[in-house]
Amino acid sequence: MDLREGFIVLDDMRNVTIRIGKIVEEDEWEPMGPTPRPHILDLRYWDQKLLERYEPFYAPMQDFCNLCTMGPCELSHNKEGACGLDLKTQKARLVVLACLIGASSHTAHARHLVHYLIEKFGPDYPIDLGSNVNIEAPNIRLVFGIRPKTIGDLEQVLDYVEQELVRVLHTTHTGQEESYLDYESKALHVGMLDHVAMEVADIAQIVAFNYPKGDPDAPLIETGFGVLDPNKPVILVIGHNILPARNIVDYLEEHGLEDVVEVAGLCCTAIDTTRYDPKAKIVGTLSFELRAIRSGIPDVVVTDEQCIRADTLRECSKMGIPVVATSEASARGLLDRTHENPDVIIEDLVSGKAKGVLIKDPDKVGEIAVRVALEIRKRRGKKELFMSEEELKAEVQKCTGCARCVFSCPHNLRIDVAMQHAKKNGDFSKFKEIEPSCIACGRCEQSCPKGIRIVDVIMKSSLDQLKAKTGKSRAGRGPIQDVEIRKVGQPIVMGTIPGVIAPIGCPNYPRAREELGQIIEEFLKRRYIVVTSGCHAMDLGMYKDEEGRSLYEKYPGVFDAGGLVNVGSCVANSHISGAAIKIAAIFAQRPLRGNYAEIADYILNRIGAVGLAWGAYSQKAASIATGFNRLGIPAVVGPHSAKYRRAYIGKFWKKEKWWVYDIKSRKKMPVEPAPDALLVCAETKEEAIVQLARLCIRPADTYLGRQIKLTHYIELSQKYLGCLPDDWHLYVRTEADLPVKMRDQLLKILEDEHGWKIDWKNKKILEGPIRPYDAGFNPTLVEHVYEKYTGEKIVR
Amino acid sequence: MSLDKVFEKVTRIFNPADVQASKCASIIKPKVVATMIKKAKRPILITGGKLLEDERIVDFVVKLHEKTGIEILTTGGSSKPLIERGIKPLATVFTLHYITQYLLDPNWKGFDGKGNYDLAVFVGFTTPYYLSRMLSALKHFSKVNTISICEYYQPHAKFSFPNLNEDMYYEALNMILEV
Repeated sequence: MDLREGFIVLDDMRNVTIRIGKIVEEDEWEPMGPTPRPHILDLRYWDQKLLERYEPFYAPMQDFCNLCTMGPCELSHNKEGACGLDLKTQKARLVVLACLIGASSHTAHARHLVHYLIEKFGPDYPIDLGSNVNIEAPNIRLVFGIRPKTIGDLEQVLDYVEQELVRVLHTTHTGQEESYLDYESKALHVGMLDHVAMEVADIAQIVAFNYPKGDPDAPLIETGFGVLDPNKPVILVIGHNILPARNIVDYLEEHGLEDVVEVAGLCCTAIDTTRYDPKAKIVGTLSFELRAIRSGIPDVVVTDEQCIRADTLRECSKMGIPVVATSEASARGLLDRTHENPDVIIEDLVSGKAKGVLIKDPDKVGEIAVRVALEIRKRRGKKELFMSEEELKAEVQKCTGCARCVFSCPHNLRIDVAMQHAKKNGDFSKFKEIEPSCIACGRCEQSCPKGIRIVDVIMKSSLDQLKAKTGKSRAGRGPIQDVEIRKVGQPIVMGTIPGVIAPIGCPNYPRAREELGQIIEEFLKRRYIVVTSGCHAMDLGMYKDEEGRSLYEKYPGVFDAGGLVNVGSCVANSHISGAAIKIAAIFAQRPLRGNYAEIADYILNRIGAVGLAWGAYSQKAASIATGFNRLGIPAVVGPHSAKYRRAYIGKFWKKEKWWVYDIKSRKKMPVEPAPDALLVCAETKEEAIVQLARLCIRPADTYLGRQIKLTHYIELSQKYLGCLPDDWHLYVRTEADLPVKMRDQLLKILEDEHGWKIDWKNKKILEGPIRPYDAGFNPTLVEHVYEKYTGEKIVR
Repeated sequence: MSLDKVFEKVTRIFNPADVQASKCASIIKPKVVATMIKKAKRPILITGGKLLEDERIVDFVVKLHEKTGIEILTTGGSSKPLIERGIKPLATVFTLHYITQYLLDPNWKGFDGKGNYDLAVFVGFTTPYYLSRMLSALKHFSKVNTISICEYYQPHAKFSFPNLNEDMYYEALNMILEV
């Protein structure tokens, strides 16, 4: 029977109408796994495995709870509040809320895109990511259990995600869970859903807007504050949703203005705009927003959603820059003028009668933004950037050295010292030292009793180095090709490609931005695969060598040893988790469909991938990292991320926690603590580098792979920590695991310091390792996976 | 203002927003730091990344170790300058996050297998906000006594130096050594 959507009225049955809504034509491409569309408790058993090993660590930001009217409750020293919740569980609850905020942001973004695209192109618009990407949606296949063929198919995926997010939100009401472990399981669930929602958003925009489809040679994009051209009309687009920026680019092209007006972006809108139009420019991350606005260069600012300063309208108004808000998520208190005559709106914005407008329809933004930019630029004339030299000197003279700015600065930068030095000596050079570490949040100005325009002082004093901040990023290429996975799957699992390092996340770095480039180049030189996204991807574009080449110009964009891959904006993080999933599917032939725990278990034990969120600040970053964690991928985060309150850190010395089932030997056996954390902070770049190498080690490494990984780990520890790492011996199973050049030396240490027995004649380890090496070692933590591949039942 | 007076005044938190409902750290004088280290059964000194850029703190740590015999756990890469000065830290690769997680576990036997530590002294952290969170964890979920001898007042330690300017800070460190 040929079914179609619609109504059937049965003649013989009065008043009976059958409505057929969605027709699901799902071919049997793969048998359905055990957990399609999992609800909150369906993967709890997997979470419990992770949480048993990687014990949640809580660092409370406050020791009180004030979420209900029985409170506020003082919970210090893990006391219980009026509802019975203790401090630890309250912190876990807050982590769930943070993850919910992050995942909801991506989900709402995805829903907006899908809704818009269905209206524009119809629900049957095909999902075609090119001939090299057959596994088009690994997260959706794994979690939801379908192969989406059209944009319309994505709606049901979002229905599921939204439903689950609401169910988890429900659990954070007063009087629900009493175990922090159950809240952690929910946080992990939300993180997993986040990757599904991000995948929906990104594949929808890739196919509909013809972004690069896994192209390693995606175009190079001009990046950095210095790319802003003060001599042209400039439209600054800020946020994470491409739709209004796309309309601006289209309008410019339709009217032959693409070389007349500049479109420059901040945050992920910048990245996605350049995926759509490589002529657009990237100014930078959130930490460049105040820099860009206060410079006075933009002629109009267009905001969409997420990570946009909440004082954007106030800041722009001070500079005479009109604002066009376009999102229901950040309407900025502006009047909704979507349906008014554009001529009237433009006149109001240009004349200053209106400081900004809300235009809900992205297809109406282009004309307004472009015409306003052209008019404003004509009327403005030439202006000093930030402030005049006289103003700069006058501002500095106001400083009393009270140091309130220092205590309100997120990095405790010694602004007071720079001010006093400039005041006494007329030397402004100390501000140049501060600038690279300054995230331009403006908190210093809020606390200054003299009202000094501190951010402007820092930026004006550093104008030459700001202008020199230029570089090249590679446009976000989207998914990793199946053919690339086929090539690198085996070396990654064997360990001969020592690891995949994924710098992702926000710009709240502990120190200068350049440190991120220094960390990443260390791994590129060592031929790790580096795959990046979002703010980190942009900042890597500004990190240049002495010849002025950025990392993207020095290293190829392939997903292979020594490659630097930019997948795209925040939502493109799903391609990084997707690549790990695809390795399990393509290289190991593991079934994906509704088979989450098996694949996560595979990744945890075999794929040496580690995230680096060196400046994570947002709730989205919390949710993304938690999603990676559920999939068995650890993350090293910068020191500010201690403020997320929770980490997952195992204890190498608790031997009873480090075990697996070996499918080959059919035994439960001890295993080395690798990786020994899923989320951990590093304080300095030196420490981060060593941790990244360390966390790439996996139980299933072959001896050659382990040898390569240990070589890098030991070399990096010697280089940055000045010694052998404390725990290197824990990862040695056989003498063949040892770095060749150091084998004798290390065998001697194993014998002398750790009491291992060595056969010196044959240079073999006789006794000592946690377990012997076995080339066929096939580890799993999951009972049903063991049973599936051995045919044996485990007595639980 | 003399150093003695500074130790008697009310001090500001490194970030005024890092507010807790429960008790904040008591200000500790340098002499008392030395006494507490001496009296503790299992004291441990935990060093941070500032040692990579501040030779004077490296000097202090080396001298404190020599004078008191206190063992050292290095984090943030601080092992490198100390090893160059002949110190053998008990641990080098574990970050402050790891070490705090271990300290929280009463069953941990320490890096030398002799048992958990009863006094943790922190020095040389470039990131007061990171140390603050770790001290918060130890305050709420452990019985370990904590002392911060960093340059900013740390409210979640049991005892902390007040905020000190550069000269006073090094003077205070020297006073610990003089006892």
